Amino acid sequence: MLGHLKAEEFIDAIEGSGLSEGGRAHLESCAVCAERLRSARAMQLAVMDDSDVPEPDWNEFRGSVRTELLSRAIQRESAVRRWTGWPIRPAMAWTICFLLLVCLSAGTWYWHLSNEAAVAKTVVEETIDNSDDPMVWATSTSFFDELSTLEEPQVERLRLLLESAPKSVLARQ
Amino acid sequence: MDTSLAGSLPMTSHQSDADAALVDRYLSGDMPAFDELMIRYERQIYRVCYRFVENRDDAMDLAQEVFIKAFEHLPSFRRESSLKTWLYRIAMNHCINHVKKHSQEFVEVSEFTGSVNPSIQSHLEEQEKRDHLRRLLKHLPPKQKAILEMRINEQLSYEEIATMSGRSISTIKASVFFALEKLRKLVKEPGKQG
Repeated sequence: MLGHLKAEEFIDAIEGSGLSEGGRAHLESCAVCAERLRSARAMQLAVMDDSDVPEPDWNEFRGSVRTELLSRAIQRESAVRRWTGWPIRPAMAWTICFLLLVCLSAGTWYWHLSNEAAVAKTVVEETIDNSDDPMVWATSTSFFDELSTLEEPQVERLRLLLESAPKSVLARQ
Repeated sequence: MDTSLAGSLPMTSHQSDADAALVDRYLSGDMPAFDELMIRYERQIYRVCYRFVENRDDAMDLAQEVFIKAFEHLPSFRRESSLKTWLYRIAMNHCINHVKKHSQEFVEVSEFTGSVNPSIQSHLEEQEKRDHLRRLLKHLPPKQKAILEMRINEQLSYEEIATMSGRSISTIKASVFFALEKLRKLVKEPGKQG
C-alpha cells in the first residue's frame, strides 16, 4: 500500500500528540504501519528506564568541581603570566645591555678626556719649569703680561740676555 | 514513572529568568550563585552522563568535566537558548565524544554480552531484559542514542532537543523513531549487533 506514515507521524501517534485525519485513516487500513507503530510503542516502553540511578555525594561532587575550577584558573593565570613575561625578558635584557654600553662609553670617554688634560698640564708645567729659553715663555703665556710681572733682578737678567745676543739672531726673530 | 511523554514541556520563562540572574551573579563573582546553579542542574547532567557510561564513578567524572567546561565558558554564553538547553548540549556533546573515544571498550563489552544465547532471553528476569536492552542501546550511533535518551529517559521536549542539537523537530522525531526500529531489529536478530 502506498502512502505509509512518515517517521515523525509514527512518533506523533505514539505520543498522542495529534496524528492527522488522513494518517489515522491510513493506520486503520494499513497492517504494515499498524505493526510498525505497535512494535515502536512497545520498544519505547522497554527503553524507559525507571531504575534508580546511583547518585553520588552531591556536596563532595560540588566541592570537586569548585576545586578543579579554581586550580584551572590558577594554572591559567600563571600560564598567562609566563607568556606575558617572555616578551618582556628580552626587552629588559636589551635595555640593561644598552645602559651598560652607554655607561661604559661615557666612562671611557670621560677617563680619556681627563687623562689627556692631565698629560697636557704635566707637559706644559714640565716645559715651563725646565726651560730657560725665553721663546718658550713667549709661546706658553702672554709675553707682555709676563714682562709686566717681572721683578727687578729678572728684568736685569733679561736686559743682559738681550744685549749679549748676536744682532743677526735678534733681527731674524 | 509516567509513561506518557506528551506532558514534558519546555522550560518556563520564570526558570529561565532565574537562571539568567544566577549566571549574572556568578559572573560578577558571587560564589553562592555557583552552588545554586550546581544544585539546579547537577542531578540532571549527572543522569545524562550516567545513561552513557552506566557507571557511577565514570558518570561523576563526566559530569564534573561537563560542569567545568560550562563554568569556564559561561562568560561566552550568549543566552540564545536557555541555560538548561545549553548545559544539556555541552553534556550531550561531551558524552558523545567520550563514547566515540572509548568505543573499543564498549565493543568489547558488547561482544561478551552478545554471546548470551538468544533462546533463553524469554526466561530472563525483568531486570536482565532491561540490562540487555541497555547493552543493545550501545549499538546505536552515539548521536541517535543521545537523542533517544534525552527524549525518553530525560523527558526533554522535542523543541529542546532540536535546539541543543541544531536540528529540526521533524529530524529529531524521525531519529527517535528510527532508533526504536533499530533496537527492535537488534532484539529480534541479536547476531546483527555492531
